[in-house]
Amino acid sequence: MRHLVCVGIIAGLTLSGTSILACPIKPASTHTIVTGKSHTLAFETTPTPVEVGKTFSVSLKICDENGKAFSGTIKTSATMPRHKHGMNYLPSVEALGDGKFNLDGFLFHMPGHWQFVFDLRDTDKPDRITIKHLLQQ
Amino acid sequence: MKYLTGIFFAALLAFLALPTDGQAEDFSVAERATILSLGPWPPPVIRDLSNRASGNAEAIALGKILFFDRRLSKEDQTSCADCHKPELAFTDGMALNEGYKKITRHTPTVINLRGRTWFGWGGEADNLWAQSIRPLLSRSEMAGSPSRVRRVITTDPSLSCRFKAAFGEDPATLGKYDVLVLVAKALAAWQETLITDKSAFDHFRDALVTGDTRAMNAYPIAAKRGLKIFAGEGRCTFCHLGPDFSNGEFGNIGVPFFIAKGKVDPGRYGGIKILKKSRYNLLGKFNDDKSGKTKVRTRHVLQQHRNWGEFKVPSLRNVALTAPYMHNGSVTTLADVVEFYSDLNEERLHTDGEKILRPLGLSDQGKADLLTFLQTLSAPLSATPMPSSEPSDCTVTKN
Repeated sequence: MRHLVCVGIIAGLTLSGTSILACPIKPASTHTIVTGKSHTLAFETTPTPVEVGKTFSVSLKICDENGKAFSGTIKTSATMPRHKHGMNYLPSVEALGDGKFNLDGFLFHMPGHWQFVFDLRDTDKPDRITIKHLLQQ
Repeated sequence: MKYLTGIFFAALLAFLALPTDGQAEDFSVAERATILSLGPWPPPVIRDLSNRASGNAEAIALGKILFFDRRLSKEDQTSCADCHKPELAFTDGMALNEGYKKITRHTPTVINLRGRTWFGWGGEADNLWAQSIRPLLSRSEMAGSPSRVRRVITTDPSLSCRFKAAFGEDPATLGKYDVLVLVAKALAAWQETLITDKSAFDHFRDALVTGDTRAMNAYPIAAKRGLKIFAGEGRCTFCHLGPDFSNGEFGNIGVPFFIAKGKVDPGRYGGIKILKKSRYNLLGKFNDDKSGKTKVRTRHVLQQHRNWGEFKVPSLRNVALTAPYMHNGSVTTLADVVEFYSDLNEERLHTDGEKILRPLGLSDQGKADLLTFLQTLSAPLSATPMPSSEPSDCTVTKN
């Protein structure tokens, strides 16, 4: 019986390890990691840093709370909360598989405090993740 | 002693009450950073990927000739240069001009257009060659047509020769739309070369970078005070930013947009609609950019309700030379523009528009200083580095 419990624990760890490896988000200087209610997201802009009035894209890697790659849909925008307006552009979202997404068509037309908004939808657990961004001149 | 102390304190108070003398050290760290971001000038020479004529000496020479050629208009009446007059900084000096019909928007300058992304007060064009087509075909302006443009090019041996030299194609073998677009690309190639030299402000900004005190001191003190307002409390650089003094986008500052009884100028809202329908936009077949880089803005631009009443944020380079002002030419002088912002009518602003706009409430001296600063943004056209090769000799001699 004791032997079986050990096997069970080892099997659980292995499975757990497998599922984490299925969606790894490792800390790196190139991206920012943010956790929402039920998802963790690695975020990176191209180019970095973002420049006022220049288009840029965003790369995302998203994992859910069970360590699985996010396979739902994303709606995105960015706003200047103090100015009460958003961008003049609607970025497009391209799913690349394994929880990776490329979002193209961002443009911040003013310096100041911006906020990225990512609305994640999969099955029954919507999640909104926001990231603050101070854009210098 | 008491008398002397009194004099001392009176002198001290008088000193403290003096307005800032506008020295470089009066700028905060943030203001200095903002000032530095308004340069360097001139901008680097970067070819327009969407235009195969960009930077091409033959096309530039052709574009220059065509800019002054009235035959491109209906009844040979008007050339581009009749509204964009070189002697008036390529403007017409009028509030609203009149071609074949009354024009409802003010004629902007065509100087310093290289590298811009939106053209027209409503951003109806996403590239300079498409913007060059617009007045050619507009029934209110030159009232020309693709057929007319093709006829002018193919029947004039000199123009035909230059066209072949620029594009390697005989215009007689091309359709009217292809000739029209290539003519517009030549016009754009020439306009790209109209870049101003360094202004007094640019020399000051460069001196800040290098720490050249003598050059810094050569910049008028009143202009420095005006610059401090511009880059600081005036918050002008939220929109008028970068070396071009514009974010290249659109804003609603409360200028009325009624053009006739019951008619409004939809501004950016209508501009996006026209852009999306245009066969000459960057998503169309006439874009020469194979990389797709130039398509990103047009593909993603979003029409929103707040775009009503928004108009292009103009560059402020040479602003003192391009009166009158605003999309409808309704503000006569640059001093009036300063007054406009000082007393900004917040009730006229869009309910879902920019929330940081507020009256500047400038003193008389503040207004004068801001005006002086804006006047230091003027400079003549520079000797733009032209392509190394000389254009072909297409002079036609008559026997």
